[in-house]
Amino acid sequence: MKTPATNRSMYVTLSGRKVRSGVAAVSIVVMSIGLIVGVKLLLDPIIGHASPSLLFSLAIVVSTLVGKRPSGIAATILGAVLIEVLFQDSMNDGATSDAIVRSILFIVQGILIVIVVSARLDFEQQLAIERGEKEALKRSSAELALRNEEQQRTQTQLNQANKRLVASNRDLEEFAMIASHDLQEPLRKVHGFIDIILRRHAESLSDEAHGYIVRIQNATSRMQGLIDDLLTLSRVNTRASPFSKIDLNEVMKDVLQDLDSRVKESDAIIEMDTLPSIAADRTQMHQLFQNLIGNAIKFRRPDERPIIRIRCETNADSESMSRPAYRITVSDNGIGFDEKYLGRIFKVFQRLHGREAYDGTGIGLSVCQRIVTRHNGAIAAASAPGAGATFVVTLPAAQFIHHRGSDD
Amino acid sequence: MIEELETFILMADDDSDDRSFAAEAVHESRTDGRLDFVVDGEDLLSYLRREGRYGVLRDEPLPGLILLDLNMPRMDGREALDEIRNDPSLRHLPVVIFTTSRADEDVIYSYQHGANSYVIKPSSFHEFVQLMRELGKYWFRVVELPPSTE
Repeated sequence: MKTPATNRSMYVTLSGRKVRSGVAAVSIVVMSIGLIVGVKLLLDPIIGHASPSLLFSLAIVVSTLVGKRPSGIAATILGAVLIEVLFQDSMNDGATSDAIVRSILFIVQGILIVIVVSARLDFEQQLAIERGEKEALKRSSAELALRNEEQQRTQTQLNQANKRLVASNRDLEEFAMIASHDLQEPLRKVHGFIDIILRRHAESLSDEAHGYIVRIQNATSRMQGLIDDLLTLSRVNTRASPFSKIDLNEVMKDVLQDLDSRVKESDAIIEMDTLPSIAADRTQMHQLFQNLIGNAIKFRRPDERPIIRIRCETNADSESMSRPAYRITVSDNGIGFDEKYLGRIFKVFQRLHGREAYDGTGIGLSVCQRIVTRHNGAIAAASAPGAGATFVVTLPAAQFIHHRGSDD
Repeated sequence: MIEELETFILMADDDSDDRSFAAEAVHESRTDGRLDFVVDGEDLLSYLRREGRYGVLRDEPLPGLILLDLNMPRMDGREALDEIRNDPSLRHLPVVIFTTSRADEDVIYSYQHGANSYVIKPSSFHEFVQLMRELGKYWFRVVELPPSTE
C-alpha cells in the first residue's frame, strides 16, 4: 500500500522588500496551497504601485476568498513584506514538484492579510515526464501503425492463399466427380456385356471360362462400387446444401426407417437419447448417422444381439459458452477394433477386414469425417477388439456463414 | 399370350453398345416387341418425317414410343425434343428421355420441353431387361396411345 503523496516540506525564502521603513519583524506564515489566508482586500498604498499583473492576481484572489479568519502567527508588521514561499510536493515516484508562491503580507487593524501575487507551479518536472510520455506514446503508436500495416499485408496474403486453396479444392472435387462419372460409362458396358455372355452364351463356355468370367463380373461390380463411393465422397462438398435448422430426431427416424430391414434381420436393439436441433445439411446428417449405425449393425458379434446406444451431451467447454456444441455418441457391443488402426479407419477405402468377411468398400467413415468437417465439427472413435466401439461426433449448434464471393 | 402389337419402339442413341444392350434386353424380356434404331437427332427427325432414305416408310405407322438419348452428335436429344414438339404432325408422339445423365438440369429441361418421362439407363443388364419389359407393358398396355395419324 502506497503512502499518499502528501509529504510537504516547506522552505521559506525571504526576499524582503522593504516597502516602508522600519520593518522590524517578518512573519513566517504557514501556508498550504489551496488555503488562501486572506480575509479582506485592502487598498493600500502598495497597491497604488501595483502592476497590472498584481491587480490580476488580486482579482484571482478575490474570486477565491473563502472568508476565513487568518490562522497562524502574525507578528507585528509595520508595512508589508513580500515573501516567496516555495512548496515542494513529493510525488509517488520520488520526483518532486515545486511551487513558488509570492505573496504580500500585511496587517491592518489586527487582521493579517495575505495577497497572493503570483503562483508558479513548477511544472518543469511534470512537463518533462509528460513530454517523455508523449514521445513514448508517439513512438508506440507509430509502431502500432507499422504492425497494423504488416498484419493487413499478412491478412491480404492469407486471404489470397485461402481463395486459391478454395478454388483448387473445388477443381479437385470437380475432377474427382467428372472422372468418376466418366469412368462409369465404359464400366457399365463391360458389366452389361459380361452379363449378356453369362445369360445367353453360358452353354458355349467351358466351366473354367465360365468361372473366370464370373470373377471378372465380380471385380467389375466392385469397381463400379468404388467409383460410386468416390462420387459420394466428392459430393459431400460439391453437392452440399446450405445449412438450416435440422431436428436430428427426425433425421434418426428416417435413418432407422432406411435401415429397418437390417435392424430386423439382426434383431438389433437401438436406444436413443433425445437429440437436439442444429444448423446442418439434412441429407448429410442422414448419411452420417446411417453410416455410423449401419456400421454398428454390420460389425456385430456373430452370436450376439447388437445393442446400439445413441447418446447426446451438451459440450460446453470453457471458450464455447457462446458457441454451444453437442457430443453425440454411437456405441455398440460389436466386434470392436484395435485402436492402433485409428489412423486408418477414416481413410478412403481402408478396411480392417477382408472382402469375404464384410462387404463394403471402406469409405463410410471417410464420408462421415468429411461431413463432420464440413459442419465444423469433429469425429473420434474408441474401441478394443471384442469390446464394441464408440464413435463420438461433435457438432456445433450453430454455423457461421462466411460470405465468400465465389463459394458455393 | 402376347397380343399382336402393331406398334413399336424407336430408340435414338449414338452409342452402339447401348443399342445392343437394348436389343438384347428386349429379346430377353420376351415381350417380342419390335425395337428400331436411329443414331442421332438428325437421323431421328429424318425418320419421323420420312425424308431421304426413310422415304420408303411413307405409308408405315409412326412409332408408338420414342426412347431419346440426350447427348448425341449432330443434333442432341434436347434439340430433337423441341423439333418434335414444335412439329404439328409429330408433337403427339410419346417421348421418353433415356439417358445416363442424372443432372437435375437435364431432368427439369426435359419435362419443361415436353418429354413424357425421364428414365436413367440401368447400370446392370438385369435391370435393363426388367426396364424393357416394364416400358413395353406401361406404354403399350396400360396407357392409351393416340391413334396413328398416318
